[in-house]
Amino acid sequence: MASKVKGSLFAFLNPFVTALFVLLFIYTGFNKLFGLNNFTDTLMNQPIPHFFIPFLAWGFPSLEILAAACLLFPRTRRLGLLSALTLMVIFTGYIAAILLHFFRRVPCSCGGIFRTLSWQQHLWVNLGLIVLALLALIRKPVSSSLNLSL
Amino acid sequence: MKKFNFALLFLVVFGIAAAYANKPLRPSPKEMHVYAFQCMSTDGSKMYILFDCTAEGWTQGIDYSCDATNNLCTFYGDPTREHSDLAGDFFYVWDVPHAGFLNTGNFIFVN
Repeated sequence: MASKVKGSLFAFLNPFVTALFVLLFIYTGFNKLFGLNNFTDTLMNQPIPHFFIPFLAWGFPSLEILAAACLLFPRTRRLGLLSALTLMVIFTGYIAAILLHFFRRVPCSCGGIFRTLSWQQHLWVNLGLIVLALLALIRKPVSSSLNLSL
Repeated sequence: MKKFNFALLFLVVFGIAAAYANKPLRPSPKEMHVYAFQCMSTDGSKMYILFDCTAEGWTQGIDYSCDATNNLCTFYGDPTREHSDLAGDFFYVWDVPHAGFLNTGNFIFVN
């Protein structure tokens, strides 16, 4: 009985995580592109070398949209999940570095999707998403594909 | 061949529409004045501007932005909110020190 419940929970997990990351990355990617000037300003506010910023301003949204695109197709879904996990780990590492005062100042956290969240709240949200991505990756064998029925 | 999932396609369309509907608003640079000035705390840890943006209801990253490179703060400001008291007290972005800030900032009209 318990294993049946566990099985059905995991059966729901992969489609849920896929849909969640598709929505998240499509929204954040296009939102950054639609407000590219704003996103560039936000990056200028961050303690990162400024010669990187033009590349990051285009690179981050492009990677997010690419990861979401990979999640759309069964053949590339695992690659999409891995890309999503990698992006989330990069973002989370950056937030952790800010919170641990690796940088000279704490920049504002006002540029992302969750504009009203503090860096600490951002960290918890990101950690939750990382756990979900890991669970979906662990549950999904390389050769199989999802039968998504939302 | 695997069937394409239209539920995910719907999410994509919905996500793009939501991203467009919630795109960050920023006044056109043509309508804005751009100011730059130098003003840091003496220990170099804090950046100050000559205008209390937060009290004016400005949102950092939307109404103004600061670039702390080389102690230079550049921000985009609505000229109707332009401050005129160059000799006034320094106000703050994040917090106000009671002492220990460099009072030699130059307010430069850039654009």
